[in-house]
Amino acid sequence: MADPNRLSSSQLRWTCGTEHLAFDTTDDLQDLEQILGQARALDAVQFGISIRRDGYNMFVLGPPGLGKRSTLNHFLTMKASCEATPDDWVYVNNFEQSHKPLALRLPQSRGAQLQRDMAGLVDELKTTIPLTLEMEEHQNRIQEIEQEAKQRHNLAFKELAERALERGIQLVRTPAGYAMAPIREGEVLGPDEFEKLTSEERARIEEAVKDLQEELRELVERVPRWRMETRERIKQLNQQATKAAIGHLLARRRQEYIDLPAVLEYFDALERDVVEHSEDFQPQEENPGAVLGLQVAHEPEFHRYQVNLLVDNSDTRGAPVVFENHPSYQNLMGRAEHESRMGTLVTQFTLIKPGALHRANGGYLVLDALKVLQQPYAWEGLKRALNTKELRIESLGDALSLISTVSLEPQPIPLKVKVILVGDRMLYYTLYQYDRDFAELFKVAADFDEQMDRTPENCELYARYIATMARQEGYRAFDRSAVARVMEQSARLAGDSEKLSTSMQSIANLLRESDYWASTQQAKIVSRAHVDLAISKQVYRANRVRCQVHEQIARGTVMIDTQGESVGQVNGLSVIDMGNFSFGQPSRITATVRLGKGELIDIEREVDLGGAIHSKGVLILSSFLATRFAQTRPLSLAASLVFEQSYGRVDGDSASVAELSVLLSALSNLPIKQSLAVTGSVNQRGQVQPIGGVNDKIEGFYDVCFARGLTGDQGVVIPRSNVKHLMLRQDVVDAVVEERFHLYAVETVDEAISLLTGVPAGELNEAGEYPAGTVNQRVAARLEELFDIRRQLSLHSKEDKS
Amino acid sequence: MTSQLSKRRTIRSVLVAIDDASAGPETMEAAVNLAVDLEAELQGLYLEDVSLLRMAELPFVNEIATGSGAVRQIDAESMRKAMQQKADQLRQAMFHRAESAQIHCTFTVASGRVLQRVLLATSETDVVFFGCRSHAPSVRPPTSLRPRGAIRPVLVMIDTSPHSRRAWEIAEAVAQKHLRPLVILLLAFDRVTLRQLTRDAMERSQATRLQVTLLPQPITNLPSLIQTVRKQRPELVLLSRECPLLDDEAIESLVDQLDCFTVLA
Repeated sequence: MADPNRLSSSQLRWTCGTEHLAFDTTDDLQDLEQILGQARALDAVQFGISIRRDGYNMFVLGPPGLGKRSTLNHFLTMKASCEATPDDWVYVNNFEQSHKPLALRLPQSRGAQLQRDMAGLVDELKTTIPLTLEMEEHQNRIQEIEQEAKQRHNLAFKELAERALERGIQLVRTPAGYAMAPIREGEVLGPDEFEKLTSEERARIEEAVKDLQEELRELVERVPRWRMETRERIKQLNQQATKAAIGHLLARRRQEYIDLPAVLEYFDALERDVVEHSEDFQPQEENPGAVLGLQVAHEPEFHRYQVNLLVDNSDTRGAPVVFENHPSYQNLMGRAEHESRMGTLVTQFTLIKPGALHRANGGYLVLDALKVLQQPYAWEGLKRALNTKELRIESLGDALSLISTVSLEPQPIPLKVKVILVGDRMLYYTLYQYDRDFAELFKVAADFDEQMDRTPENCELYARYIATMARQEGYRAFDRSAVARVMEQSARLAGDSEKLSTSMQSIANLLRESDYWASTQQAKIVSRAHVDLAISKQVYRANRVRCQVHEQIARGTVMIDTQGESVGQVNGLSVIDMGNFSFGQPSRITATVRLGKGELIDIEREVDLGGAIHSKGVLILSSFLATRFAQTRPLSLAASLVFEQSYGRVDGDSASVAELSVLLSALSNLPIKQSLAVTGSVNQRGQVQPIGGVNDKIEGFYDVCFARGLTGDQGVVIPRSNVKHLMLRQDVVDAVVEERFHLYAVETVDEAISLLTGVPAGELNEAGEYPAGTVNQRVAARLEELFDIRRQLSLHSKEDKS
Repeated sequence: MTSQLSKRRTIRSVLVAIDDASAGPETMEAAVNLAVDLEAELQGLYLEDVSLLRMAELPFVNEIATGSGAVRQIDAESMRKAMQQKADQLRQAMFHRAESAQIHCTFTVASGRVLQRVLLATSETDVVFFGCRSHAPSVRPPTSLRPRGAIRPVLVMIDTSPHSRRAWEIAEAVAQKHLRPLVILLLAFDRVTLRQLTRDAMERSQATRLQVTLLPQPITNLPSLIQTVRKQRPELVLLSRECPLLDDEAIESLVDQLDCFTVLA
């Protein structure tokens, strides 16, 4: 009678029959226009792109390699091309408050036009204003003012000097100023001569000097005011001349921008500023003595009349789609750069640089969510911009109030952009859980699936996808055997014989490498053998660690028995994931039992090497034992479980069937066949539940057994619910066909222990007892024995006390 | 032109005279540059006005500071120190500039009035350089308001004296080196002389590449001469020390009233 637990070879792997593929090579297939296997995600993407409401930004989630970015690019490009091209944005000087540059919005391509027009205007001003101010008539008027001022000064000093002379006093120049000196016969009086004068004379002179000094003081004090008045008069004259001269230049520009009131307002302010600073347009000033080579350069600055073209959509067609690969705070929000002048860092509005949000304004911005979160304050900045719907450029120092230097405060720009974040699921759910703004700002989630159903229709589409890739990338055509092998590998990647992987990156790599290996053999068409070679080469390149682990087992360094029997010892299976490669590894699990009070010691947990899920699995074992064997009396055992030679963390509950089996073996004193390995998790009722990585685990034990020589008894016990996931290597399948290796599927732990010990587990009869000799009967008897010992010990203890 | 001058070594020394009425540092700087242009030795002369020292001993005389109008008490000692300090500053500035310009220089401190003293010393030097002098504080508006486009010319007064030719050569050299227009003011009492000077000036001007303006107008008195010169707004004025039309008093008055550097050749 056939063993009902044993799996047939047909259950171990899905083989894609070429008879179902109605083509010879991929050249016979049409290109696939649609995105494969992502119907739900595509629906979400289309909805997310189309809806124009606040907060309907999108998070595209899923593991890498599913084609999220290419899908987005495809849909965004299509959608954006049908939308209106957004306006240009420029920053111009704020003539009232230069640290607050003004943002001007102009229709597409007119930003660049304004920039050119202003550069042209400044050139014209540089010519027109000096010509105006140098005109003879204008200069004569300035000279008149100067002359008038000079005359007023000279006259004032002359009159003072004359009044002084009338009183016998001379106005003289001293090293630091002026003085009133008494004179006699043209010579200044010294103290000796002064003393010789009569007291009346001295008093008169002193009085005169005092009066004249006061007049002189008042006169000297008036000089700065006169100078200021002269300056004002000349300035007004210059301004009047300048205003008259530049009027026609600005009138022409005003006419060109008559439809843009903001620009006209800017022109008004600019005109006032040019008139106010007309002297800046004159050629470089020379200091006194310039004719003799004493020139000091003074370059007037015209940058304040420039236009900083922040966003130029001249060459944009439709709405912009921006993929920002380095979403730092500044790359997102824009920045005001600084330049060094005389050792000092200074900034100005022409140094304002746009961020990705500026470039994407009016369109779409695609960002890697993880990168955004990794960049300091980028996430906060992005959320603030989306919440306020405006783009405010400020340095991080200002934003965090860390520094308070004078900096630019550019006028904020209204923001209308759809932000699309791309990231993995964990990130999405973490943000959703812990960031209260996230749900409000990113209402659309497009969840990309890692696998799709392996239906005949999907298989056909998959073949067309392969054909499309081959054509687009210039690969050789794949014959149907190769296509079938790619799809089988796709199912293996999905870890499910009823599914196909949607990890297009992995499939694309496989196609590329298969084409390469075909080229090395001068093949014109890629066949199954080339795909097989590509897969085996991929594995070979990545499996150094697996080889080392298996070598250690083969050499007995890591102790794994694959023959014989042993009490309290079983082969468990685990998976080591290296990122791009994973493999299975058998582990020896042992159990010991002794008298106790129901303690089940998980040594891994005791030393903090066991994860929470593993601990949960062990606690479930305890609960199972208590439920099955301790309904009427307490468990009187203490048991210890350990993964032997395990020095790293152990997590997951996929070894719980193995752990329960080894515990039952230790309790029943029945040996477990070491030719078998077991995997699966168990619940409190003894039902075996599916686990992950079943293919890797089976192949891992097979490889160890194969290295030692297959005996025909070896095999692996797996949960029955994992059978549909089997996509084993062909060599494993072949060994099963040849009955050199076996696979068993179980639904309960009783089935597992029966297979492992070769002794029936035994079912509870009507009397509430297990049949004699069965595993469960032996376990119950052992527990009864332990209970009796414990009870005896308890009685002795009471007697001793009394 | 500078090279011609240097080859002939017609100008061996430049005397710059500074007193408290001169804009000292500016004058010194400009004089150094002229000496460099002419490859001549520079003789600095700072004149202490002894009458100021006497005046400073009077207890009731105060100094009114330029600019602020602050009233300060003065005495002879502080006046002497102020003069010494100014002389030291000028000496240091001159030697520093002369060293970097690689010209030889001397510096002397003397007592007396600038023009009197200088005019006495003209026989000991080839060229005398005067700064802008004024007894009133400067009333020029800030330079930023002045028309910058108009390049201020070099003006030379030409008469019939032999020294006039030297002044002309220096003026041409400076104008050429600094790309300045040259204004030639022809001084003569009579029309015949004026015509002759005009002819000579035209011939000479054609031989240069300079932008030359001839002003062959007869000058009737000193105020009109000063007005004519001022109207040209020159940066530098050159004239002959032996100008038959200008005596020492007229030259003193001219130097005092022109708002520019003056060179007496």
